[in-house]
Amino acid sequence: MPSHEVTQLLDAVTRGAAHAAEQLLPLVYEELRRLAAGYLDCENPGHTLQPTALVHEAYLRLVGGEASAEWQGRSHFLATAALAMRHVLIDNARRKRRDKHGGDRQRVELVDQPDPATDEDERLLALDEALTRLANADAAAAELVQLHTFGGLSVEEAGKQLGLSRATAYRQWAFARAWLRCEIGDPRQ
Amino acid sequence: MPVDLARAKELFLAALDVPAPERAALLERACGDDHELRRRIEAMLQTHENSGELLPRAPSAMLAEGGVAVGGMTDGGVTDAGATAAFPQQSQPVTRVDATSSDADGLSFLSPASTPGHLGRLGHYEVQEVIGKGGFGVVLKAFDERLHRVVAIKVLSPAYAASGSARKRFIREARAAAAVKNEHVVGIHDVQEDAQPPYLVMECIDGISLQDKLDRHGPLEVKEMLRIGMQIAEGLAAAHKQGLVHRDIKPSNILLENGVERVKITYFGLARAVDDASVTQSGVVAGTPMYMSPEQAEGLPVDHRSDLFSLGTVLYALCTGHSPFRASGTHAVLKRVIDASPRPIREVNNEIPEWLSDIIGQLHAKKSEERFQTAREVAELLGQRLAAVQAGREVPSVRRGSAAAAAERDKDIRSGVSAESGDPGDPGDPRRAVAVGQRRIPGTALAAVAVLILVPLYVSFVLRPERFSGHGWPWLIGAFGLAALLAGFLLLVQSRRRRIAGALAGILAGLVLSSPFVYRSLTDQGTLTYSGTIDANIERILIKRDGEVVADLITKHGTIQLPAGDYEAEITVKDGYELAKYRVGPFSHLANTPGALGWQKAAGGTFPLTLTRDFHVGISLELAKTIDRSYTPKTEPGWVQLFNGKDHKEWDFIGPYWKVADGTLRTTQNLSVGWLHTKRDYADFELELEYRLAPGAKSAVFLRGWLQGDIHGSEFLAIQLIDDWASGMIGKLNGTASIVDVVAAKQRVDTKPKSWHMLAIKVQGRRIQVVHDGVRAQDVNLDDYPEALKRIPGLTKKTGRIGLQNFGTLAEFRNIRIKELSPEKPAWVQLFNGKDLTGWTPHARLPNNWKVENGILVGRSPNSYLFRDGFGKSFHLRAETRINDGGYGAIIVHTSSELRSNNSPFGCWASINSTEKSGYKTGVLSCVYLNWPVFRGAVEKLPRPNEWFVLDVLSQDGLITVKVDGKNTSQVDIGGRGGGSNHIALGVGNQGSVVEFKSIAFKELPAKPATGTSGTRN
Repeated sequence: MPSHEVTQLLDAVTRGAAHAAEQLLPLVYEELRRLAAGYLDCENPGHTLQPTALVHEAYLRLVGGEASAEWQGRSHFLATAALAMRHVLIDNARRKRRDKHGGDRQRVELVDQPDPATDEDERLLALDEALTRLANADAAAAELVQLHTFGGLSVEEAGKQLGLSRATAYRQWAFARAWLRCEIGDPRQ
Repeated sequence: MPVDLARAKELFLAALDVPAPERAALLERACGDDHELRRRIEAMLQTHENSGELLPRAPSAMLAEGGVAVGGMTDGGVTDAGATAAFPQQSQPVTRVDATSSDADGLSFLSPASTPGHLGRLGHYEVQEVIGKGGFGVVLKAFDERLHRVVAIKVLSPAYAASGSARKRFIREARAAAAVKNEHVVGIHDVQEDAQPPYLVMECIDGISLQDKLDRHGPLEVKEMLRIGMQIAEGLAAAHKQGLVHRDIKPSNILLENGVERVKITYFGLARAVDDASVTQSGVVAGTPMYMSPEQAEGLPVDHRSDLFSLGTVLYALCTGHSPFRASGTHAVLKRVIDASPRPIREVNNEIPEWLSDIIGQLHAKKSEERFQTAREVAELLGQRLAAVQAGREVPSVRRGSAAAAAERDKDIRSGVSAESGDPGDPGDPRRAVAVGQRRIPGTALAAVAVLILVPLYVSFVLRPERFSGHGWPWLIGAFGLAALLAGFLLLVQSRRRRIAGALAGILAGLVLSSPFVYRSLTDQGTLTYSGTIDANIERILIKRDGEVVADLITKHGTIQLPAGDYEAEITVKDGYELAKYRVGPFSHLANTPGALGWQKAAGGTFPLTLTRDFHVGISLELAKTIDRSYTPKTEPGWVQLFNGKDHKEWDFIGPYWKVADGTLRTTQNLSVGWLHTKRDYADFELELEYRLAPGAKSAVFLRGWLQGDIHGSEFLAIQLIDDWASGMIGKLNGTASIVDVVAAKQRVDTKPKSWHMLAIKVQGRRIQVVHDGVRAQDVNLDDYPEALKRIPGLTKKTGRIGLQNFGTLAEFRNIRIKELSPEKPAWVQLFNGKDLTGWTPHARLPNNWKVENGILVGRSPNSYLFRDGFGKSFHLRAETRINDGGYGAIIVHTSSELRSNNSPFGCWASINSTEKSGYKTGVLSCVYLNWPVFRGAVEKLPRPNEWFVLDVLSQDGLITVKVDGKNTSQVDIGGRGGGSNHIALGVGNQGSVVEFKSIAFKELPAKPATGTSGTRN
């Protein structure tokens, strides 16, 4: 994907062209997926990979280094990237669930142990659904969760993207987190 | 009623604004009777107390889950050693491939898959998905259809296959790794070097790499690090023993098996035999710079100690999260590896104890002669430290010194004698360091050295032979029932530092018998048994020193004081048992690493035992039941020997795969798969045999097999026999006594290599029973596995050869005997479910005038037929039916959907008729086939219209009999006619006919009728 196209799309998004966001999403999605897979498989001297790092790298790769200094479409890109990350994760969890229920007929069992990954996936899928429901009733709170949880922005940064004060952002987050945990039956209740 | 979100938000935030004690009052006021809302707010406030995120881990980390790490998967980053570049500036990561994306690119070498959804086939491997891709080619996950296991296949990319050196390196990897048999090294099953492209087949590890773990969790806990480090060292020790240097030890080449987190070293791509000078002199740097040894980085010849340096770097990374030799650019990294001292670990992570930092420091000595000298030594040291850490004891620090001194010191620590030289004199004496370290131990002054005995753990099995109902199932003589007993001793050793003038100086070890301690049973059906202090089948556990008995653990309760040092354990067991295996080691290590770790085969009842003050010593014992070798052939009527110990006259050979030797029928080990089968078919029978497998071997008993083609267990009924300890990870479906690919054994049964086992199989119709060494492992009806019956057509066979499988491994059989059984009386099967036409099909070219009304199957004019297939030559149909006045219908057997010119089917018609019209009265049999005239049976009875009656139609090998209300009405022998017409049909006639069926039942009949009478044949 030539970077100027992405730049143009971002400009269009900034100008408020809805279709541009739709076109941008699959590009970001693919890039995130690719990056994540590459990162996690190859040797990485760093510690845990932070989603923000991933998003930034996706941005650099898609938009190009020169443009990044003047990050016009930054907030739009972040919003798109957070959504893309959510999709990547959900798709991944769904695929794994499908694989699990599908014909993985020779699953090797050494010991009977609960599979923590499965729980995690189920929780992720539940969170996705609950977040969609929350978006219908309280779009701002849902957007904040998406930026923070999937986009890797801090609560404060995410609030800034949405034009919220620091205090408001934290209050929104506190509410949304508590609400969603109740919705998905979080064991930490 | 769902909670209103806006209201909940308002209240929740309001509640947060008031101090906690006032919240209840606030909610009380605001919610009133809305209990739902109140509960929700309370729950939200409660969960609010937990800070943290909505997702358990960073989302990007979650993406890594679900992959299957495989030997070789993560081995990007190294180009072909023969190519021009030394190694790439940027490593070439392996891209994980989405399993769902049918990545046909680059997989053109696969032949079409035999199962939809799979990617294709490679030899006898059914390829399920691509697990990894990299510069070298692809790694595939596949199912080995011969051995019935999931494997990983590494295929050299065609581009590389063309290069001689790449090919050589690829083959070298396979051979190198294949030579190393160790549970901490990824096993290589097979290498196909002549294939186009070449590929190697290896163990498929379900898990992640150490690098993944590091990325996700950062630095590890000391305990975990020691556990992992010890296992890497053990794997390396095994490789080094074969003269192999791995050369690329790094976290991404260390796999952690899911669940148990057993460490597996993979990727022997750079491994070379030490004396393989031709490659070492090439001067080409190969390996991953950040984990290289200085000698590797300099391109100098390397030996096994190079791996120890890399191990040091791995341990460093486990402590700190990263390699100590990070730098920008390859050359900078190499320079650091060669020259730079790593930043002291404790500066990066102050939780790392000094002694561990010292161990890593010694591994990191730039000169190989200053490092530890063997991986074995490192494994032992880490094992000891692990034991100490787990026991919650402080560990003496290890001073850096020459390797020789370290080795000596280490030896001292192990034997415990160092404390004797506790004279605080020479500070340079490494032994003093130990002594000083000891002093720091709290409670040392108590100075009791105790050895706890942990007693027997468990006896699994199974001495009680079970009997098959109605048959004299023999007592399982010769059964090597699994008698496993684990006993642990705890030797708790502490040093007595006080000097007693003129008296015994030195360390005393104490031996204390303690209460039973349980850890793990080896089998699913294990019953935990304690008999006081020790298993009843152990008569005596003597501890000897220099031939003299110093302790008797069975009779001696309480405390026994024993000096630390070398002893011998002598185990006496009851008649009928023998000591099969034992292991000795730090107790906590044994307790925490159950399984096959460290087991030694017992030779006789004695083994060496070293008591030390350094840690608790544990012993695990495993008993096996000895065989009664005095087998007497069965004299009960019906039992026949299938193998006389001398020749194979009852058997036919396929291929040169079997021979008779030493009274056994045994495979020849020429690595080819072939089977041996009986000279004739057997249908229902009891079969008994004894078998013995070599370590790692596999075989199977095939039942009702047939002779064509390439034979696999997956094609018919087969009972698996396998040494699954050696095979490591095999699915339950493939364990001993499983019905291959269909049903796992009901209980785990354990095949011990080199021991005779008794297998008893009873096959009756679809019911299969298997008893292995007295353990009832199978009692199933194959009809309960319809999916398997469909998948494996051979399961439906009623008779066939009995076969024994040669799997290229040594399997021996003896005392094979059989008793044929008459088939079980089959049960009635209802063909009409009372609800709908399930199972029945109308004729495609004729109208369907059949319906189910009030639980009754009704056929109405005009002419219509309902077909059903799957009927053999011999069966019995029984229908409850009635016919309206003037109507007519029929049950037609040995028919097909082929129609005559008048649109009625061929076949034998049993008429249902209320009139005498056309002579087809009820009970008349009309048999119509091409070129064969119509026959009619005799008429004896005509039921009244609209009255229910029972119509029986029997077919016994061509003899058709019809009965009305239990009385024979006609019989016709159609001979071979109608063979192949395996349908039955219901028919309704024209002119206002209404025929009804309440029930239509079916059962199988034996092939030939007992008596044949009154068949009329015109």
